[in-house]
Amino acid sequence: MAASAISVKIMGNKKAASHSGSGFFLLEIMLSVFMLILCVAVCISLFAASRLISKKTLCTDQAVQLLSGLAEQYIATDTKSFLQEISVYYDGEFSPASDDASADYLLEISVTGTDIERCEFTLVDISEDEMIYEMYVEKLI
Amino acid sequence: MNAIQQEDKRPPMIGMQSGTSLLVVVFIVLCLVIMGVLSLSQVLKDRDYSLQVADENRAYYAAYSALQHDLMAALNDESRADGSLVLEEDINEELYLRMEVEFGDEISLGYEITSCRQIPKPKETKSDPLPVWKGQ
Repeated sequence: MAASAISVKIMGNKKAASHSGSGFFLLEIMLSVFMLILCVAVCISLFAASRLISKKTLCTDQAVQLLSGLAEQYIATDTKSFLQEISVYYDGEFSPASDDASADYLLEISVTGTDIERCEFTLVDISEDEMIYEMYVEKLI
Repeated sequence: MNAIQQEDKRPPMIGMQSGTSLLVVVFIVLCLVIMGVLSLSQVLKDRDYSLQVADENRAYYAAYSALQHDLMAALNDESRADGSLVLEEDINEELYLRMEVEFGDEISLGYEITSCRQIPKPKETKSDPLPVWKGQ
């Protein structure tokens, strides 16, 4: 009788120890998941910011290439410009857009002056209404 | 009692002990944070470089425009002699634009731009000699 009482007591202690280990393990898992969620939230915001900045950088690069080419073409022509205001629409890939509705960017070129012509280029992001790049070049007629 | 003893004899979970999940999460968190910070820093460097290129491009055409004004002033100058003229304009601290113009009667338009290129400025070499003892 006494031996069976002792064995029951030992079994009770083992059971209590097993329950305590499960509780600690559950707490650890909860803590881990909480940390993971917190970190993923921060990192997703970092990646989103990186992607946004990268997109703007790419857009600036494309704009510089496009306007430099147009400026060189303008310098290379010796004749006086007949057009005073030109608007060209571009899509997201910087290809000329067929219509205004599908356009993402608007390039405005204005030519002023008589003896020295001044040509101003302005590229605007239509969707965000933000000026991406602007420059001017002057040439003697 | 036999059933409880058999239950206690279950094999322990190999590799999933207390603290393992926390270590795995800490490793994942470190990897994510390092990748995020590296990505952001690289993108910021790219943006700075792109803006620098854009500013240099704008400065180049501004210098070219200033040279056109100088050329017009030279053309309107009645005292200038026929021959070649060299015009220079600073682009930034490191580069300048050099334009060579040829004037002459045989040129139908009155002038011809023979070359226009950007040239790096010569770097100033500081002469800082070692101090020499001159007796007293």
